[in-house]
Amino acid sequence: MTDTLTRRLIKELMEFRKDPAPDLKDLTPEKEDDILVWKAILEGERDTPYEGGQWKLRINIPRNYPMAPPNIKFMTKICHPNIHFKSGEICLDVLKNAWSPAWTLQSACIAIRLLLSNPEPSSPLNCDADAETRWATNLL
Amino acid sequence: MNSQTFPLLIPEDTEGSSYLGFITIKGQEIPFGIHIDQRNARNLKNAHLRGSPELCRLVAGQEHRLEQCSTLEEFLIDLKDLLEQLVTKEENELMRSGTYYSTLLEELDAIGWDKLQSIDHALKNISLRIKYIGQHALLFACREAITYNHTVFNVLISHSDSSGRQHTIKVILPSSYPSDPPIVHVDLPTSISISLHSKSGLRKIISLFQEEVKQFQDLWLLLEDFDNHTWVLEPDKPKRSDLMRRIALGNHCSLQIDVDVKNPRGICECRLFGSEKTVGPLQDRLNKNLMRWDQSLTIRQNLEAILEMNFPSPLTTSKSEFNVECGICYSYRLNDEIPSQTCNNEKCGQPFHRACLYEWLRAIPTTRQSFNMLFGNCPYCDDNITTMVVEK
Ligand SMILES: [Zn+2]
Ligand SMILES: [Zn+2]
Repeated sequence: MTDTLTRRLIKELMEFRKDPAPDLKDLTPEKEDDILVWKAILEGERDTPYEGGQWKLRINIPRNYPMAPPNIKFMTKICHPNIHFKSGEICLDVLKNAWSPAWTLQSACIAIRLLLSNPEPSSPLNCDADAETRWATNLL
Repeated sequence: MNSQTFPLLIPEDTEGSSYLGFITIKGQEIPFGIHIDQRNARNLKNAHLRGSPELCRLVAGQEHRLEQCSTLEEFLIDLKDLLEQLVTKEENELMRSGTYYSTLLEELDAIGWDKLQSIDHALKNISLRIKYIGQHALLFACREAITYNHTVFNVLISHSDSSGRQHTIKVILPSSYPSDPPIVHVDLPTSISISLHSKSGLRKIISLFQEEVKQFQDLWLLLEDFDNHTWVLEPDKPKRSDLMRRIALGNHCSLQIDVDVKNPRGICECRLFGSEKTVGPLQDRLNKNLMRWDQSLTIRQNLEAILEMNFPSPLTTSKSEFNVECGICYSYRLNDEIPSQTCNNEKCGQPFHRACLYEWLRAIPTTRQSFNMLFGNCPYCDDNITTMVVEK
């Protein structure tokens, strides 16, 4: 693992702790000895069917982050047109081909929370395979 | 237990699992204690040895040898053997370097030492704080690092020049000194031939150094003028040998100067960094006014006049306003590079390391390449951004 990746992730963690987004209950590495696996806890937005709910996300960070997006999945079962019920996979452009290093783990989680209250019926679950391939080659 | 071999050992308890005593090595009694795990009395694998720091230092790394003994007596004989060997070895090393010490001490006398601050009985740590009788105060600290095969002496000489700057000369004396010359490290803008003359000893090294230091007084004054009155972005911690400074101008702009060591007051090399919009007007002023360079002013004063601005100063601004991190890796310094690629969109102005931006742009299908330039979009504002291909 490169120092620069660790450095960026630690800064993201500090940034979150300093100024956490209101509906992001937690965002932190899962274990002390692996900074590439994080967890996040989302709270459902008020006045939506998701109000009062809590969802756990698992974030796997690729070694070439932030060149490639993090891999984020729902660990809590959720019924949503853009989230795979069984695998927890999320279909969101930001996590695929609209990703840029300007995004952070925190802003990606916020985008996911917004997706909860604003589903994208036009983008079905099986997201474009092109983007997946592109990141796969980048990972090498 | 054979009390003939070890008359100085007494049991600490009735079970015979703990003993306390002394072990005699070369006429010196070293205190120690041993605890044996009775459940496992057949060998001493779990035996635990307690002792003075000196004893622990000697047996460090040798425990495996002692673990192989099957009886306490065997263990103690082995321990005695081992300690005697180790002590003899250290003594020999000290003997060999006898001439070395006397030469060093003679030399210290010659330079004008008048006081030896401390020296421990085993000659393992010597620290000398000696006042130099004369114009300069010198502080010497000598430390010896003993390893198994050779002895190295580091002498740090701190010298204060006519402007009160502290300089350090680091002299490494090999164990074969004085037949082999010392290695001299100094922090000066030019590499001087001190090492060549170093056969002549510490005294000569110091006087050569003083000569060198004299000729750089004006150069250092000019560079310190930057260090004290501007925000120096690079180098991180300027050394006396650094002739380059990169200073913050604000608006994600910076100016790099390289001072000519032979003519420090002359026109120096200048390079501007930043987005085209902000650098353009500054470059014009630089071209237009450069002829007004005045050798009686400092470099900073000249450049402020030429660029028609006052450089941001530590008195009025904080450094965090200028050393803005790279938008990709979130660090400022990456392999000694600072974020020098700035987005030209004035509202964005996000800086990036060249390497980071290149790494990002080359992975994007819409990025175009022409010769060694990449044309793509800023990861932050999506405006056009250009960067050079980075060779790996
Ligand atoms: Zn960077
Ligand atoms: Zn931009």
